[in-house]
Amino acid sequence: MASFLQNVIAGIETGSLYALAALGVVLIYRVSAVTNFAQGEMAMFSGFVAYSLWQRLSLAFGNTHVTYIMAFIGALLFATIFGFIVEKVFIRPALRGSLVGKMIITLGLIMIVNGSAGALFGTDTHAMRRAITTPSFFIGGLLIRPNAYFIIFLTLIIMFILFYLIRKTMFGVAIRATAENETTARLMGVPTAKVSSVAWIIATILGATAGILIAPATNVHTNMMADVHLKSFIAAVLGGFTSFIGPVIGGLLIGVMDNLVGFYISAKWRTVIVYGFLILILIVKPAGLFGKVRRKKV
Amino acid sequence: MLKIENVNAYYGYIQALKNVSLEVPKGKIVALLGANGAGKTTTLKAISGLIGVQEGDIKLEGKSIKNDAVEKIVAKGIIQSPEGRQVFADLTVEENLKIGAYTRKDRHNINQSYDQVYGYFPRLKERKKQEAGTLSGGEQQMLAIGRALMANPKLLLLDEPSLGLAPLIVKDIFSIVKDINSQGTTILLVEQNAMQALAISHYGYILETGKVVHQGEAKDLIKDEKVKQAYLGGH
Repeated sequence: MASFLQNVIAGIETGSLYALAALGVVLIYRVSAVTNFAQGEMAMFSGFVAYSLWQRLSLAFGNTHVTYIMAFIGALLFATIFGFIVEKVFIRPALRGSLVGKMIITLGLIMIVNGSAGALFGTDTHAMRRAITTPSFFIGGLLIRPNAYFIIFLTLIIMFILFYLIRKTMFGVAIRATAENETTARLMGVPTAKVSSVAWIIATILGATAGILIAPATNVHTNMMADVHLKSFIAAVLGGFTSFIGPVIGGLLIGVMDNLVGFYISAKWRTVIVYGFLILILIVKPAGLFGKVRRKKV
Repeated sequence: MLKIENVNAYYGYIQALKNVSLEVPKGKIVALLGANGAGKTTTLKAISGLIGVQEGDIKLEGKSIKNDAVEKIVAKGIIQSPEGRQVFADLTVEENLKIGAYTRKDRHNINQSYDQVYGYFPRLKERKKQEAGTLSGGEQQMLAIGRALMANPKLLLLDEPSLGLAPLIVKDIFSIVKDINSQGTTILLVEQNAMQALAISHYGYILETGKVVHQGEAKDLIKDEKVKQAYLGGH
């Protein structure tokens, strides 16, 4: 029982990070109608920024919680500017371009961001500290890892804020209206360029947060996000690109299944089994678990 | 209230509007009529800022709004209910109305606007939690008009509100459009259904291949033999 719980909790921990990154992908897809293949690389870059800031600040002021939090916040500020610039420079000019064209742009971004990271930060691997450094302890047979609970808790809060924003506020309605019909949204007075800009900023912050939180497990290096990024995409597809709750469920499902299959069935075959199963789900529900097939009335 | 002066507009190399001038006086309904492709929707797009105006001017209450940003024009009080209704299918009825009020600064008066819209269209109130995509065509048209009213517009642009609707529903919609006008909203009504549009309008313009070819008081246009033959199906 303890090992089952252990696996589920660890699955939720990584799954919630996939979910965060997936939410960013879906947000951008809906507002800009482009799948941002560079989401992972952008998160990696923000991760490097967090690491560098943390290193510098620790050297100057000592390795304390305060310097970590400052580095974290600094990296999120960087992500804000980063998302703004990427949208403005790379995506906005191609707004009316073809879908394939825009996708190629984001593929090109992978090269640019990855290349810049290598040039600026080097290709070495660095160890990043955990958010919560309190050591693990046992309650009964259950190993409690404070950092895991912190990650789950933090992502829950972020998702709650995001859902509130999207479902309840005027800005959220504007995001969904822009996603559905950009021209009509403009006719209602929605500044869709600003909406798109903010969506990219939020998505970049979500990605950066996932990157910084996963860094202690993956270490900081130029390919650190490859796995997370791929899984966040699968989470988005599995949950459905047309919903916001879908990618969250998708991310958690992948995280938990990965662990359970690996532990109980076969560690060697777990990737094959998990993703084979996901493909089965998509055969039954091609639009994803929560995806809707849009019908149009004339 | 709205004055369009010698406007020329182009789609690429094709001139869609040729020297179009028209005027919408405060408190009136003005009908803009013509066949498919005559430039009616293009005129509305030019007013709303969706397409650029190369020559001529568009003025709201004496001030040029030519080539302003779309959202700025909405904020100044001109809102369009576009052709084909274009309601946000994934949003609820209430959210569709909410987005109509996006540029409103007087947030505390917005509840009044909901009441006003639900007063015109009680059906929308019954369905306010429903996704707009599940509404019938007539209800979607009501929603499209209601959504535009949420902006509390000075000038309401209606693009073919009768398109694809059953005659009885068209009658309802037109009578509500008339009500909205008598409550003080100025309306520019684009229609192919010329007879019914003129019946509720004060003044009419007829467009043909991007040019104003005829204009006059609505009651005169209805009687005019030439107009009847060409546009009102009076043969």
